Amino acid sequence: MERDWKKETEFINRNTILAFAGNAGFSALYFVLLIWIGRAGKGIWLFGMTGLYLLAEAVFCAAYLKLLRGPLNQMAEAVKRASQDEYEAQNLRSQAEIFALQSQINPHFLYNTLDTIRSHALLCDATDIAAMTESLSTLFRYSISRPGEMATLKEELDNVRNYLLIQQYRFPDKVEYIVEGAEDETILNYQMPILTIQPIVENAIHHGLEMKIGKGHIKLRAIRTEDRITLMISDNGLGMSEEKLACLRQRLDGMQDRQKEYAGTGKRKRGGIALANVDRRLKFYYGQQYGLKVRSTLGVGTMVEINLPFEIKKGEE
Amino acid sequence: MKKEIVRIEGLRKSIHGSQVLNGLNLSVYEGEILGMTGLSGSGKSVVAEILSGSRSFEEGEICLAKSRSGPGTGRKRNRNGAENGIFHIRSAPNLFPCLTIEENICLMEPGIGPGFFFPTRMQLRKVREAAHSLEIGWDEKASVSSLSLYEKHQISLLRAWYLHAKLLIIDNITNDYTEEEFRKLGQLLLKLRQKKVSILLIESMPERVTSFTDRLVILRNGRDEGILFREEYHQYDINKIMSGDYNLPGAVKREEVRQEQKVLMSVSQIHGKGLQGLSFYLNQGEVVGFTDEEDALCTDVWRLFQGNARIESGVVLLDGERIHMKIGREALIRLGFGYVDFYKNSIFPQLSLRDNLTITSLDRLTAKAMINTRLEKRVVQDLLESLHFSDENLKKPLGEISNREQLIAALYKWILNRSRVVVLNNVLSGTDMIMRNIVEQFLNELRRREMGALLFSPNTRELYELCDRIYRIQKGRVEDEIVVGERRGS
Repeated sequence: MERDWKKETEFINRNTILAFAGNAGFSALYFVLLIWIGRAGKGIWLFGMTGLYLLAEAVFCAAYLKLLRGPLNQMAEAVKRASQDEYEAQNLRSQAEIFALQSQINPHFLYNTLDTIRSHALLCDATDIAAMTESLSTLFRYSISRPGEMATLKEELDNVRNYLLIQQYRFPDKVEYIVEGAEDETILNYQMPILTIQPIVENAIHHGLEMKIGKGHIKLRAIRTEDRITLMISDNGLGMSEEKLACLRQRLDGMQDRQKEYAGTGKRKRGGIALANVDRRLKFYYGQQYGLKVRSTLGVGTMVEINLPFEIKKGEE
Repeated sequence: MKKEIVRIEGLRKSIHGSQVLNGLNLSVYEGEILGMTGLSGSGKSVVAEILSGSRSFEEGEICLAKSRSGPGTGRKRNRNGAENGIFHIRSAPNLFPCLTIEENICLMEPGIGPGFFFPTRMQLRKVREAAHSLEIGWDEKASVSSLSLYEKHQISLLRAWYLHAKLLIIDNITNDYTEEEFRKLGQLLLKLRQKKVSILLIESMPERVTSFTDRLVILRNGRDEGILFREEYHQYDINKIMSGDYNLPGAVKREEVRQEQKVLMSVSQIHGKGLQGLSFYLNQGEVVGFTDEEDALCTDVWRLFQGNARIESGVVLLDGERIHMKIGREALIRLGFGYVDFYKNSIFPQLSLRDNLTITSLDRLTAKAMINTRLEKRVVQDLLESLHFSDENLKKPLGEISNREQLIAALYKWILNRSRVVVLNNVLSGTDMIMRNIVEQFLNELRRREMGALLFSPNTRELYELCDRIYRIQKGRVEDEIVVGERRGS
């Protein structure tokens, strides 16, 4: 968007300079002619020349305005979009601050308490409880202590594993987690906004696999191309009806009134909040062409595709 | 790291006011065979046409390795598909029969001006090298018109490879293939994949598209609603993604043929070109198929029922009356035959669904040189009601409405015509699972009305699925008779 803006501004500047130079030249010519006519004593020509000059100026102005109308409109649209984005960003920031204030419990107190529970569990030979507490503590450390930070894909995947370990105790042998294509160091060290993957996995379990009869799976596939990384998270859970999917897509495409949603005046619809949140964060970080895509079929499962930009640094491949 | 050959984002396109593509996203990577399937009308072929540059699109973005079309709105076209290495291989091969195979391959080479020799020695050498690398051979004296459909497609693929194709879009070309030809095509595509050519294989039959693809994109209502990787191919999942919230169409139960049925048509001792004493019979309410190992389409038998075979001797009886089989298709229709080829070729696209349905039975609907339109409407309405089919598109040109309605028009006009024997030639070509059910329902209707059907198909499995009896033809005569029910039982 910024590039378009620059292009429009350059276009307007260039044309304005050209127009003014042309206009100045034309006016100078007119005055030279005027002086010549005055000297020649042909007074009647003065009226004709002035009429012609005014007509030419009017045509010139109309053409100039027509030329600039498109770029100016686009620029105004860009300014409007930018201010809207800024407004939304501000809302997100204030929302994050509210959440931060709400969770004012001293995180160290929380971690220490969890560590104490873990120690007691180990003393009582309750290894399951110890492992669960450790996972929970790691999960909290990751999500609470690093708000708004970037994390590597490896850290994100570890966080998902911790989350699934806890879920494993809730639903034993219910979910199989498979990761494919993320063996490459470049992919594992790729930096992305924290908590991008875990909310999607959580959604897959909560909406897709929890109610499914029998065992399900969540597969994460990473595909790296020259300019982007695509993460595909698919589950074989219940899936979504076409109507529900259309609603979710509308939410992701920003068709619903976001501002109301942020301001808290609109009614929040349940479901899809986490996905919409991740999508919005990715779009803020990287631009509109990135973010989430959702595919789902009732009775088959859901696939969430995360698209992220990737730049090959010099010296790398 | 994978190399993206094509990326499509949010592609939208409407045709005749209906949204054909509705925000389609797609990536094709270098050296992969990507399958694409979906129900009829889901937008598969439109994607191919847009990618090859023969159709415009309204919204979205297409990023190719070199260039990009879009984004934004308005009519846009991905120009110069072939220049960007995108080749669209269609069912009807784009070859000139008056030119030799080598000339056809070299003709599209860019930068060729008028010269003394065409093709030049250098070009001929390159063509032969390309053919050798793909292990394709042909008779140097053979003309393009003497090649089979598969061989023509093979030449089209070779030409694309010769012209440095990056992406080959293979658009529903295997409808008329035998299983053997399909297997050969698979081997050829695997060789091309080894040479890092990307292939987008569009098929309406999911069981074919899963054979040798690496990944499968399933379209529903103009959108990519499912991406499956090879290890995730399950027929149920594919069918369910294609049909969405609707229940999967169940299998149509075949009407049982009564044992005491009368003989409707008998053919005895037909001798002629390619026929050496052909004899068989067709009972009332029976569907009979033909298979020949040497000629999958049983061309000579099929030609006999087209009314243009050279017959030296033999007798054909229809309803006990002798008929002359050399009198041409039109006269045979008057005697009680009906014909359905590929459904799109069996309709009049400019006429409405109603006109298409009644066109064969106008004789019965005409009184004193005037068409009884009230009766015509009534007949069509009754038919559509019995099929539980909506009549909202009755007056629109058939070419502008769905393929299912086109298939219904192609089939059921013979029921309204009260034909005695319907000759179906590769009728399942280009159909999806719902359209297959329409064909099976039509065959059941024929059985109920004690009509008969002769079925020709290059796909032997289709014959076993649809027919009551199959005649195995060898050297122009019936070698064996297979009763399908008994075969299933055994």
